[in-house]
Amino acid sequence: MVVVEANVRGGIFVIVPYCVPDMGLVGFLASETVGLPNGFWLIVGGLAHGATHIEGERYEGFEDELAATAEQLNSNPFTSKQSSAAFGSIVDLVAYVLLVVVYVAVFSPREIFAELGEFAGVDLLSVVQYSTVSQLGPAQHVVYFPVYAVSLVVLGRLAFLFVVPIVSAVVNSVIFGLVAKVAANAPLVVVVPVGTTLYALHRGERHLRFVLAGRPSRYELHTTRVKAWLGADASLSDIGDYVAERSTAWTRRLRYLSHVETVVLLVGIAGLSVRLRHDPGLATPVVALARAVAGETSLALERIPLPTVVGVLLVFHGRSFVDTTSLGTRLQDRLFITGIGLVSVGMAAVVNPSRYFDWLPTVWTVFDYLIAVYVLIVAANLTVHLLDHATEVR
Amino acid sequence: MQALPLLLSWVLDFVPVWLSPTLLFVGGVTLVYGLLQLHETYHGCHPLRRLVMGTGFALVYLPFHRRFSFVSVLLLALTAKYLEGVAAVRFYQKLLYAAKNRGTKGNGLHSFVRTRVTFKLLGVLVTVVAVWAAIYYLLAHDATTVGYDLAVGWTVATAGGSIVGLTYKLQGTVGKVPRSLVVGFAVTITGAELHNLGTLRADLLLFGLSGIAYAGGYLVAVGLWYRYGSDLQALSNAISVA
Repeated sequence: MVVVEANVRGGIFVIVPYCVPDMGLVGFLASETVGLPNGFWLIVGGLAHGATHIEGERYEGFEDELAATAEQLNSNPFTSKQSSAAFGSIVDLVAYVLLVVVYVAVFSPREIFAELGEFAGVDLLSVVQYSTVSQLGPAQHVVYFPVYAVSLVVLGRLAFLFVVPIVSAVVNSVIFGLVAKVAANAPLVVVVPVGTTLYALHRGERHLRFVLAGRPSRYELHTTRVKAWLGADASLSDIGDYVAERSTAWTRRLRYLSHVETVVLLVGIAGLSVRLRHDPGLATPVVALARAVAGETSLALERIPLPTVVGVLLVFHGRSFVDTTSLGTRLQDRLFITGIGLVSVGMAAVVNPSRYFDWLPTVWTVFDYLIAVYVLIVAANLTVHLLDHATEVR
Repeated sequence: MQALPLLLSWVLDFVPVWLSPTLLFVGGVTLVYGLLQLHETYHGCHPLRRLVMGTGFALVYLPFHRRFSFVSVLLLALTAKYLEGVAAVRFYQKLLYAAKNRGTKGNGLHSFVRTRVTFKLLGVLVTVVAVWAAIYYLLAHDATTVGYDLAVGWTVATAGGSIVGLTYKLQGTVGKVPRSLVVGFAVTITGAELHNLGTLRADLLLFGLSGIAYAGGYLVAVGLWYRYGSDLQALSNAISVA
């Protein structure tokens, strides 16, 4: 699974595309808890998570099958598919909130971040503020990733531009790469295809082979069984019934893995907290990185009131419920949110008018724009309906 | 006559102060819940999902409202005035429709007038009850709380009148849009109207801009009606709840 190794400032940085869903933070915390020697592991499951969701939804007939399954179950809210998804999502949400609270409680990261920035000769606090805005914009799948890249800039003067097959993630990565290059003066920006990008490329090649041979090879059938367990290979769903069955099983397993990962996340947070409590002076590169992440969160919380943070999490969570949506719809959603995120990032990173004009309000989240947009949408909608004069008088 | 509420709202602060944000929050949740029902992605989804997102948006809105109070009130109040302008054109449509269907039982002028009078009476009832409550508080409480009680009566009258009035104006859209959207919108607007802007200058500015918004809504509605005519029905059907 190890794809890239780079020797940066004497340390070995290993980047692993770990395709079990959800946040890369899980692996990060887990590696810190067990104390891996000689480097740190960056696990980019969060990115794969978004992509694999899209891949899973590509399977034609999956929605119907899901609906049929739900129909077979009775209307007991504790057994229906939708309620299970809702419950699972709420468990995840609680984990996210705990994550934020624990991080802020454990670290006092703003000073650390400022020191790191001073060491690197860059205004790192500003960079982090830029990425804060961008993270709250495009998609939840890339929430933590720019922070890792910022840390790499600090620790190694090297920015990694990670590329994944999600439109919003790619856009976000490109934006962040530019910010890292220009604002942080990174000498080198490396493009690294990770997560399901590799599988997307691999799928294209296999798809071609299937078209030419008329059937999946024995090797493919074998690897399908293995990779399905790793949650990595939903893309095979479009090359035959056998694989489609596997894909459905994979999608179901995806949900269970999400919950397992939530537990791992909580255990990881607890482990890290305990370890730092016993050894407050712990100063490995990974802890510095953790403090950087915490600085990000702390800065965000310092600038953003708690109702906003909780509200944003709720909205993201409502959007990410496992539900029956088409690929096109999801892409439209993501493009819409990405567009709004771009406005935020543009204002914060490029124009940043509040830097020059103190009287201008600083944008906290992209939802500030959404509020105005939603009110106007309602007004436009009601205008048309009010003028629908051909119906009976009410 | 319209200057009286303006003057009162400047002299008398709406109380209690938590009522405005509470109405904004409740209205926001209901509004977004209804709005999501219009969205094809969320139309058939679990209600909890819409509720979670509605709560999220409403939570985000509260700090926004606190930071940019004037902008927030301006946005919502002007939107309401704009829709009142649109509703004025609908009133003319109703008259036209009623005149054309005079002989038709149930849908004619009589029915229209009856509906309108019913809601007018409801509005009068709310106002009378609020005034009665204010007088009751005046007589029943000691003198030190008279001002507060008057303010409460004024607040209740304003809130009741606003919710009833807006719901009446927008009731024609129910069926095309979810009822929760209409109610949520009315409650949100009322929450904004109960916000104490604090200065006469801000109140005057809002008052002046409200007239412009009203005229804008009227002109947009006339323009749309003139331009599209009966095609508006097709458009309305296309974007209404399936």
